[in-house]
Amino acid sequence: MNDEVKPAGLTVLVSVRIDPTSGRATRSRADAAAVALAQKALGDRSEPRLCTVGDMPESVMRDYLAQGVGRLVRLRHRGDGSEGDVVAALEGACRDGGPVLAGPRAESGFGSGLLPYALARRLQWPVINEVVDLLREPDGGWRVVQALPRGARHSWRLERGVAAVLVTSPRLEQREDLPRRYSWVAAQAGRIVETAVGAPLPAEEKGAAWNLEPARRQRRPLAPVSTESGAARMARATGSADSGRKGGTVIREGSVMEKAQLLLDHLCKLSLVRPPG
Amino acid sequence: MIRRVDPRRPALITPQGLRRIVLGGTEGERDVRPAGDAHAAVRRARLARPAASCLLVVTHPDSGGIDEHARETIAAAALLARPDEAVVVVVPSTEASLQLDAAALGIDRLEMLPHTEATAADALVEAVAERWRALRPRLTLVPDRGDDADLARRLAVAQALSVAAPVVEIADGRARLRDQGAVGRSTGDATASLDELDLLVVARQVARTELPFLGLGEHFTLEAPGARAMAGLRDLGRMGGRAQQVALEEAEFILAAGNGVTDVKLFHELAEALGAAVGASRVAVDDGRFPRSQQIGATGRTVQARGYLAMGISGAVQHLQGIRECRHVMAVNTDPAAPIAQRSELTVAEDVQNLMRALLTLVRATPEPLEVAR
Repeated sequence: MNDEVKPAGLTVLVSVRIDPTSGRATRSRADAAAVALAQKALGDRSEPRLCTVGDMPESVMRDYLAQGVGRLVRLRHRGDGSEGDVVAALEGACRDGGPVLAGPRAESGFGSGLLPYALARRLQWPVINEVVDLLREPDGGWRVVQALPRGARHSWRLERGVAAVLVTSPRLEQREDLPRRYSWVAAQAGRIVETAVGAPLPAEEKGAAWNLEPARRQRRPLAPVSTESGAARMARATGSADSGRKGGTVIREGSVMEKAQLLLDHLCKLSLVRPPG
Repeated sequence: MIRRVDPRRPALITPQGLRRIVLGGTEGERDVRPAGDAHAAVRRARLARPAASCLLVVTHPDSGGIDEHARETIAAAALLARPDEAVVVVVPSTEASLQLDAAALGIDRLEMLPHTEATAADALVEAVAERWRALRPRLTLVPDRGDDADLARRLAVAQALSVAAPVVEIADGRARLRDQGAVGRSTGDATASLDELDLLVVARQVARTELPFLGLGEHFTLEAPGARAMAGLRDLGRMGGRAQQVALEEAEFILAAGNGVTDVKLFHELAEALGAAVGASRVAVDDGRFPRSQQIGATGRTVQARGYLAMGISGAVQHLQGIRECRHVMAVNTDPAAPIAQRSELTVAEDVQNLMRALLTLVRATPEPLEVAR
């Protein structure tokens, strides 16, 4: 198909974002960040393969190409656009292309974030989520850095020749050392390759019937039917009844050192500070 | 003549637990009730008879406890459960102990799934899927965050479940999602009947956590899944984050300064030594002692730290709004009658500068601050 891209490259799945205010189709910010990450990981030697399925306006495809990528493959499947069809279409395109980068969830449609997992299941590849960094190792393997809560990081090594589905982290968009290029020349010079994918097998799918409705302004949380009296509700609303708000212990006596020691003991008990020794 | 209301007029307690006054009646109890004890005592177990089926909740603990998002998910399951359905919560945990009152959260059966850091995600999902096949829950609910979101999606594809993610509202037997639109279709909502769904991955604020009933609160421990390495994938280990570099919203421990803190340098040294993120009240920020990005409160940030140590903060309502979801609040203030003392579990009445100096001396004596590596 393409000779200049080596098999050990990277595939990035790109999608459309619908701007919630204007309703216009734009490129997805998460996917643009994933393209930038792939470009940084591959360096100047090769470029990532961009891949999309289904409807994507040409302007959006050109927006992705404007990041400095030579070509974008659009797969056209003959199914009705269900997730099974999309995964079946992507399977063939991704199988030989090395690790696949995908955004955490789509910015159009329902955004369930299931597609990368379904694709990985079909390809029998491992999934790594919350990816914030991807580095090429000298021997051809990959070093994948996962973002955990509270700034912690978890590193993985993908051996040479092993592929995985990498789901990027929402934090990737906030990385400031990943410039999103926009070059008009690249956008015009890039090639859009349309590929038709054969009809998928008619999979027996279990899925709910979704009703589309206009958005409701206010969401109501699920709440128990209240059996308490009006007086109790009023007392709860003003906070005068809540026994939890009566305050805790107050330390008044003792020297400063003793008070500090009590506070530190309490912090140790909550394991917020490591106890001495 | 002014007719006076007798504060000790007799009142009956109805079978629903409501206090009812019958005008002119002479029967019933005559004591004056203190305000507020209303119905705190009458919470009863929701399940009266043995459960025929169940609803399943899967959630990871957050630093030794169950966080607000998971509590909302469990409450949603308890509210959705029919009278003969139990609420089963599977908690994959790396820690042996978990501080939690299962019954008060509405949990009927708490199943701990012990595992280690080395357990592969696939092995963990296989263990959860096995529980799913054994229990056959009508619905499975998982909070849509971090590890739980990952686990839910792995479970969904492994078991080919009918999924709704992320659910923003559950009402009238239907789950509601946000539809972000597509080419030629504007944004809106999408709803589906709960009967057709197996797995709900729920967003924040889907249910209220105050429940009028209790769960049974039974504890069980499941068998630990075997450590299974994924071929070609090697774990290179974890690295803790530095508390000062983490966004305030996800900090575990916050040291916050108010008007009482005049020695800012000392304050920062203490935060560094304790391994805490730095926050400030509006007064301290307006004074120029701290950047606007560190302001906590109604006009600043809302934080969910596990520990919050307020230094010289009196606790205006706007500030208390910002720390509403903090689990353990401690305060140091010269005035122990300040509003922050109502909110905090431990209040030290002392001059802030002196106490910070003493605390710094004590912390420096200990080997090193806690590395928050989680």
